[in-house]
Amino acid sequence: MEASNLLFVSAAYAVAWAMFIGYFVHVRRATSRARALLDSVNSGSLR
Amino acid sequence: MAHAALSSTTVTAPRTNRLAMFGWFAFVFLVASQIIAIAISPPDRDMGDLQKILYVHVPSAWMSMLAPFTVLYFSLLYLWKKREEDDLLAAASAEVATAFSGLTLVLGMIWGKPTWGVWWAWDARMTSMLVQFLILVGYLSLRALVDERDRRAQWSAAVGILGAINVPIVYMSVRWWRTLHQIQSSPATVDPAYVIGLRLNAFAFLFVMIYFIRARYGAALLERAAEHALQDAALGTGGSNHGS
Repeated sequence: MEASNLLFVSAAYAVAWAMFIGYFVHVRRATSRARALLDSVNSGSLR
Repeated sequence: MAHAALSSTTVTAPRTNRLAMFGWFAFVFLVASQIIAIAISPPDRDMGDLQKILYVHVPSAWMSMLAPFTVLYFSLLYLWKKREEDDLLAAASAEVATAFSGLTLVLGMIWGKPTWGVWWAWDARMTSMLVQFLILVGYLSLRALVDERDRRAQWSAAVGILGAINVPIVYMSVRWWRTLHQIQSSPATVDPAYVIGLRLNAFAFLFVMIYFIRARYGAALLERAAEHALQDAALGTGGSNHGS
């Protein structure tokens, strides 16, 4: 593969995987945050 | 909206486990599809190895046109039945549609620079996809700005429906306005050496999209349950153990 082509192909796959991993982390964080808040409310510590 | 709307949708461990298993399946399928596509496809006569970008750009574009229809479906369902779950599913789909639309635009730019010589052109397909992306960003901004739950759901459903109307324009833009972007390809017009890679990656992206929507919906259910529990706690009417 030509060096310049390799650069663009690598960049494309890196961007795609950055989106996949980034969105996965975003969802995991949202889930953990909500679960922690819910647990603290249900356990009475926020009442 | 009545809190009872969420009482039947608590997130349970078995469903979470099934979702995690599906997530792993989507991940393995995606990795395998990309390896197979890259390994078996020869360089294109004109594009050379840049053709390999299409295994991520084209499936991403398909998902960014498919996801807004999920938004449309759940938005219409919400307006019809007024179920909070449909509003949350529409919102989860819109977030995923935004991610895929943004990805499609960036991948298109990365492909466009070495093949067309420019990162961006105000071409019909690129411009209409940018409009779609901005509509979806508007949808998410609206949800972040409106606090009142019913009003937020109704307004965002309206924007979700409008956003879906734009999708046929994005799809047909390459035929209605013959500008820079090539017209749609089909298995009849693509060399068989590239069809299997495209098909595998289309399914892989579809599985990833389904996983993302379902996972985001699960997070939204928990967020909403926490919101309800906090309201109950503030009003002193708690004791229902939301989402446990």
